[in-house]
Amino acid sequence: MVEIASALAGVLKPGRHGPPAKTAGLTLSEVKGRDVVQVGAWRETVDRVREKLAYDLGTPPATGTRAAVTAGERTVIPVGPDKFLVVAPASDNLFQKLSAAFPASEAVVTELGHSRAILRIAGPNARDLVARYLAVDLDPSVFPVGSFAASGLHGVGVLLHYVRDMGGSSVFEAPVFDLYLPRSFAASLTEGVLHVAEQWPCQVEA
Amino acid sequence: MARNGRRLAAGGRIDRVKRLTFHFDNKRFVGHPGDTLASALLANGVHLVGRSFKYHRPRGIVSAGVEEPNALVTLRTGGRQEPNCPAPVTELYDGLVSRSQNAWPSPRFDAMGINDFFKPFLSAGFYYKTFMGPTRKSWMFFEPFIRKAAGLGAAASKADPDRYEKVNAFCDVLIVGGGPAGLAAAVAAGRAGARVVLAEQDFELGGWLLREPIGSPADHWLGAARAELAQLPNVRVMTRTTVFGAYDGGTFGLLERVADHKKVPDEGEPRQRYVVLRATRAVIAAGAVERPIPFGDNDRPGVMLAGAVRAYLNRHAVVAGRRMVLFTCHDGAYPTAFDMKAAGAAVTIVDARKGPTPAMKAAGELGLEVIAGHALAETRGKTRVRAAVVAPFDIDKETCDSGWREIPCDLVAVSGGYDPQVHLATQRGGRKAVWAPALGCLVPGGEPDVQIHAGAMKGTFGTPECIAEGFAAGRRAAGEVGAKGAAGDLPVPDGLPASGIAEGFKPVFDVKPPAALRERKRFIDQQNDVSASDVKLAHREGYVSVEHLKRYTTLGMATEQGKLANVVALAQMAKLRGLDISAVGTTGYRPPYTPVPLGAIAAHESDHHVRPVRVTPFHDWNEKIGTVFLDTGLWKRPWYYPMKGETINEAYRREAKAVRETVGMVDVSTLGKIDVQGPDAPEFLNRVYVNGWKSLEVGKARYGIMLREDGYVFDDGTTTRISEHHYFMTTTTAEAAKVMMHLEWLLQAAWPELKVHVTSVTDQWGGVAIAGPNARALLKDAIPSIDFSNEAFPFMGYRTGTAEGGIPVRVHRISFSGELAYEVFCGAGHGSALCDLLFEKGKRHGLVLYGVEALGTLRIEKGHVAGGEIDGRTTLEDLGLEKMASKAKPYIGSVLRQRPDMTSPARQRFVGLKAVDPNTRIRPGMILQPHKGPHQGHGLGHVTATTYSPVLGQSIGLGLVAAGLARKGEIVDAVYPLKGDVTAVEIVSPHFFDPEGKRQNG
Repeated sequence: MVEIASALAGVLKPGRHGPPAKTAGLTLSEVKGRDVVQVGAWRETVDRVREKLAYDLGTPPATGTRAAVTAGERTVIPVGPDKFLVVAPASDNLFQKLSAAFPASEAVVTELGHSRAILRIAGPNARDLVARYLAVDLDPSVFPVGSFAASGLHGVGVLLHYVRDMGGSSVFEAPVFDLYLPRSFAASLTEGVLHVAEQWPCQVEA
Repeated sequence: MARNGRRLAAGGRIDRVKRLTFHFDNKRFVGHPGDTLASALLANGVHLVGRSFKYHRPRGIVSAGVEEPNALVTLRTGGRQEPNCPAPVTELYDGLVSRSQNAWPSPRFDAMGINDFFKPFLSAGFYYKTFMGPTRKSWMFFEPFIRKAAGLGAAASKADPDRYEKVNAFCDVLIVGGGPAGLAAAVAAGRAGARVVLAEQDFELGGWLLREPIGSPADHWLGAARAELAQLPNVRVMTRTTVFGAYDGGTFGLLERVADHKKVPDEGEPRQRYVVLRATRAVIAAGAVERPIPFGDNDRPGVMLAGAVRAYLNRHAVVAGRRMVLFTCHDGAYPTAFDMKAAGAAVTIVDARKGPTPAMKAAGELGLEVIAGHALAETRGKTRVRAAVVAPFDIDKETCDSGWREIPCDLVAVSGGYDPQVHLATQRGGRKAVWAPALGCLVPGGEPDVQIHAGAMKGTFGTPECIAEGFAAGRRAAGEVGAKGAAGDLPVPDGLPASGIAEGFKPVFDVKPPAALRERKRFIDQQNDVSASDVKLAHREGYVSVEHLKRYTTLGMATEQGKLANVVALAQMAKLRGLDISAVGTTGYRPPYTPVPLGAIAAHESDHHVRPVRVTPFHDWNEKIGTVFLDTGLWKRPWYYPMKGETINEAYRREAKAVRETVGMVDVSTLGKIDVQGPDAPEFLNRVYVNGWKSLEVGKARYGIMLREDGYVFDDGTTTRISEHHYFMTTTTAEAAKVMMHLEWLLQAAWPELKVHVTSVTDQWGGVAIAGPNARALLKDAIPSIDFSNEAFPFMGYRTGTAEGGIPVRVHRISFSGELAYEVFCGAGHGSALCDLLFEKGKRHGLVLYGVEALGTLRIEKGHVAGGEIDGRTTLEDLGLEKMASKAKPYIGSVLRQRPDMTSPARQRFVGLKAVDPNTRIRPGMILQPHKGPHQGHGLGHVTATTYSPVLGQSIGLGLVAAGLARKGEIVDAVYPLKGDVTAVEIVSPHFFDPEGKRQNG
């Protein structure tokens, strides 16, 4: 099958940007090779669907309202009371597997893999950059690792996921955020984000 | 006494080691870090800094804060030029360039100073009175001259090279103001463990404590508080940050002047930052400003607020004058006299009260002359005060008696009390400030939502009381947000400044001169040149409400926003009306508290980031080919594909013609696409569309129309049944988001029992329409896995397959052009690959690329309705689509669409229009009027869409006309009043081309 073309290829130019410094305050990259599938359950089946997803993907059940669950490269994000966004490597053939796993009486499955570009924002200034756009309280006491939030970036609906920390002595040092951008807006929004990011030493990775 | 002009040899919060060079009106001066532009100018002996707004009177520095009415200067040059910056809050930096405003050639010799002689003619309401009646038309002539003569600074004419940004911030407790109350609140909330933001507009924490001498108890307390805050990691101190607005739900607008104190911001650094801060609780400790007292020629340079004189002395080590007259009516102003005497100035105190008071006694002990029961009636001098005229004063009547005398001086310090800064407490409306008679000032009428008030902003003027109140407020705020730590205690040392406002305080709002002296202007609002006589005039002419007074006189407008003027004006109006101040009321405050540059609000959403751009999956491919794009909403849509030297008209006609003759490809990805899934999907569609959906077979598509609840047409599009429980809906480009919201609302609120999920998949799928006689042959080549024969794949059919190269595709046989046509959808990430394939395969089938211009031509020829006709005001009958509506089921809008007026045959209905003279053009938006007149009003209808039809060889159009096709064959005039065009058009069927649909079905 033909590969999915990147929506960000034209704007994410690998290399150093912003003022010179020994270490980058920010690293921007595109998360490629992910499939995104939405699973929509019904009120009476949502618990069963949640358990089934956890079993199939090897994650804990996605029971929180603002917390995603992850196992390795697979993540389940409970985006609504009865809706889950499942993200996994494209090689998982997620859409086919989940479509086969759920009859319509239990849940419906929508393929969204082409519709989102995932911009990864990592580093000590990641919170600073995200705060320039999203009205989300990113303090670790409020938005710990695993949290996600649906918000608006320049008026466009996006989803932010706090994936993990890169390490360091405190959680303030190097958070890793994945920002799910609608594909049609992705290049324009990323161009704007890059412009703002250039106030810090910034590394763009291929 | 001062060395080097007015600067003291020691003291102050300046760094004497470093020298900062700056320019004012092309003259070079030197200041120090810690200076403001105003303090540095005063240190260099510059009092005269500009001319007034209307009368062009010489004006000097009045205050040491944001309330400054006069010393507004233009900073920097070129694209960084910024007008109307108050010099007292402009932090000095090396290389600062500043200019005075509203004066030519200079503040000292201002040509427009002649206005002052005409002040009797330039009273309040001058413009309204002069340019009403027969002279009204002359306004257009005089306006440019008036605007040039009156006004403030000029904006930059070049692009601003600096970066501005917007940031979202959150905290448990916001503390507004870094004075004693704010600092104490921050210590309490910080100790308790709350996430605290302390915002201070100055570049240094301290508020009025900075006006206390170095080494004083206040200075020690300030140092200790600052040191403790620096040790609290949960307290974020933001200096140079003004909280300019309070909004709903604990949201505050902050402006952080990140690099205004630098000649050029550092690399990547923004000049200013607009912070949208959401706080769970907010302690408002915004302080107070000193109130002036109006007396004759009180605007002369050298007349300053007493607290400002003290601020320049103790904070900046600048002695503003050598011979000072202090005029006051309360004890709080006396420390200025004491400190000025200690600095070597000659000081005379004029007190409106008879006394004795503790401060008068202290002054006497220091050997200062106190002239009690007197007022300062007027000043004398030209561009600088030379003398003060002092006269016996009746504080109740606010009038002077005879027996005046002149006191030589070069500085007048005045203080009429204090006005709490209630702006943030009242901005959200509903809780106006209220008059506190005991304090002689307005105080907040309550604490709205998240706010807790503390310190001088609520009328607490003594520093010990401010600290106690602030600490309690901080502790309360921390407790209310759930912070569990112990705030402990905050001891208040002895020797901190006490409140000067004693019980029985009687403020002075006016000083009428003794009978022997000519009445001179007693300015209330120096920034807008509004004086006591203007308030009197407004009262005489009936503008007695404070809201009318403000607008009639322009009082409290511009940057000052009533900080110095409001209370004095409303007190004078109260007196004129014979009412108590509380009965007169006050105007409300709106954000911003101080001016906010628009650049900071726009921030990074400017230039080409002013709005996001939306591109289709085929955008990059189209760009490479050489498309001209059209902005439709946020989308970039291919408009036309010009060949070398081709105009848009030539291009779209060629493209449309080619579609009818061979085959064309157009990007239709901008159509809204909604995935509808669930066991109840057929029932759901049946309810939202006017036509029936339950019988639609898998693998078939159907055209559908949705109405709004009020029965008007909402949107149209095709929906395809992909599998038993799975539908793919398309909407128009313009209404995609609205339809999605509508469907979600219905499922969540109206019909939660339906098992249906709707998901926007507009970004998941890219689509092209392949239209024209050769469409089938082309697609057979490109997608061999699908049987495209008419029998296997009929009109309105749907198939899936894999195009060459392994591209999965969905193909719908749908036609918007009236031709044999298919819409081919692929995953958005496969867009370029699909275009490459179709373009290559299309070469031998005569494929042309066409854009939205040609698409419009084809749909007008075919007579399909689109956005021009579905304009939110048309019904099914208006569009000739009433036969689509099912009578067997209810649907959204089914009841209200049957109202008599909605179905009246007299309504404007959908028709085709054909120019009678084939060589004339029908313009979009033309009004349809009776042939040969009369051409009046809204006429019979209007033209909704026009094109040149290559098939018919002439201009055609679509329109809505009263009685619609009942007028078929009638000639009407299409008129375009803006251009004077009148085109005779014939009303015809809107289906110009292939009305039987043979081509699309073939």
